This record gives sequence, structure tokens and C-alpha cells, in this order.
Amino acid sequence: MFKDLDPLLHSQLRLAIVSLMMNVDEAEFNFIKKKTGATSGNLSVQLTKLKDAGYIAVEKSFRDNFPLTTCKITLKGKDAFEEYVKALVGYIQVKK
Amino acid sequence: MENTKKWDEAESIQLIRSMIETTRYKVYADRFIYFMWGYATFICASLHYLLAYVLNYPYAYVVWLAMPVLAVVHFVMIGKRKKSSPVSTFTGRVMEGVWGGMFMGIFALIIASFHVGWEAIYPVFMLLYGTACFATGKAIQFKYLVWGGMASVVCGTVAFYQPFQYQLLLLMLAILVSYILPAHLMQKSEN
Repeated sequence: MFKDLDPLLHSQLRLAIVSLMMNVDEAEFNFIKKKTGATSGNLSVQLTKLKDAGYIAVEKSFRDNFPLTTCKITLKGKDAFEEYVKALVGYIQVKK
Repeated sequence: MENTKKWDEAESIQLIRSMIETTRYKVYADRFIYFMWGYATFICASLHYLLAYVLNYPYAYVVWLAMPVLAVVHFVMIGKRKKSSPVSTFTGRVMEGVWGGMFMGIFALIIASFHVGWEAIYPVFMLLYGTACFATGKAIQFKYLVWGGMASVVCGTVAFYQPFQYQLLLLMLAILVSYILPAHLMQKSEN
């Protein structure tokens, strides 16, 4: 029986965010925005969803008097991503 | 990037791959640092050799005073870049560790040189350059740095058995193969 794909990750932008975060220690909001090509509004919404699910941690601070949002993947987020990739590989192998 | 588009598993894999690729460490971005240290050390060693063994100038070692100036430029540049960097990565930390460790080693050797003499120190410089280049090359899978690092270690080992005059020539060779040539071979698209 196939594992269901995590609906939270099976979304283009959220998967892009988590894939990015898997490869970095932490990343600023503008970096994620640039790499994913998302709009600020959409990115904010998706980051909030991922944060609420406990997949990423968001830290708000200031740099040179400007607000700075930094994101970091959590252990739960890493586990969810690994499970998602395993499930994906299962689907792809059966389709072949 | 849209969030609602219908898509399949193969596209998911492709997206994951492309996101991972965008965060991959590119040594090409650090090419200037390899050129700066490589050419500066090569020129200083050449001038030292020329002044000391061709022109018989007794204070030929003064050419190395350019190095602390270069170190200041280097740390100011790295500090600025780090402050403005929007992301921190595991490879970035590895690079900091490897090259920071090498700088610490060189600093300790410079202090020790007043006690043990420069003849004993130059071969260790080459060993340090070599190990840092080798470790970097292995970490980022860049074969020219791996080979250059190994060649620099060989130069360092040979230098232990040579008088200072030949140690300078070996230092030039070590710097050429471990810094200058790999920096020239770094390609924007691949590294």
C-alpha cells in the first residue's frame, strides 16, 4: 500500500521552501523569495502554514533598523521531507 | 511560483533537485581570494628570491610585510560578505573551519619562527596550504584543488630537506599548483 503524500508538502511553493531549507542552516525571507520566485504575500502565507505545522522555525529580528525574517527547518520538518521523498520514490518506481 | 498548479511526482523531484542546486556552494564565487593570495604569495616569494640570491640584498624578507596588509583586506572583505549574506550553509561552515584553521596555524607558525627560524617554518606553510586545499577540494569535489593540495604537501615534504634558497622555489611551485592554477580552472557554470 502506498503512503499518502504529505498534503502540506505536496504543494509547489511549500515543497520549494522546504527543499531549500534542507540544504541550508538558515535563510532570510528575501533569499527564499528570490530563489523560489514567489511573491512576498504568497511566501508569507506559505511560511506561516509551514511554521504552524512545526516544519520550520521563523525568527524575526532587526538588521540596521530594518526588520529581518530568518527561517530554519526543524527536526519535524526534516523528517516530513524525508518521508515525502520516500513516498515520491515509491510512486515513481511503480509508474515505471 | 504558483501554489495551486496541478502537478505530478516527477515534477516534485525536479523541483527538489533545482532548489538543492540553487543553494550549492560555488567555489567560483571565492575565486578572487585564491587569486589574491596565490599571486601575492608567488610575487613575494619571487621578489624574496631575486633580492636575496641574485641581488644579495640583506633585508630581502621585508617583501613579506605585504602579507599582513593582505590579511586585513581579506578579513574586511569576508566580514562584509558574511554580514550581508542572506543564507548560511553547512558547506559555508566547513569552508570557514578549514581556512580559519589554516590561518590560525600560519599565525602560530609566524610567532614560532622567531624561536625556530624561517627554514623550519616554510615547509610547514606548504603543508598547511596543501591540507586546506585538499580538504576544500574533497568537500566540494573539485579535483584541481585536490591535486594541487597533494602537490603542495609533496613540495612541503621535499622542502624540509632543502636549504632556504630552494625552499623559496618550492613555495612558488606549491602556490602555483595549489592556488593559482586551480583558481584559473574554476568555471562559472560548474563550480
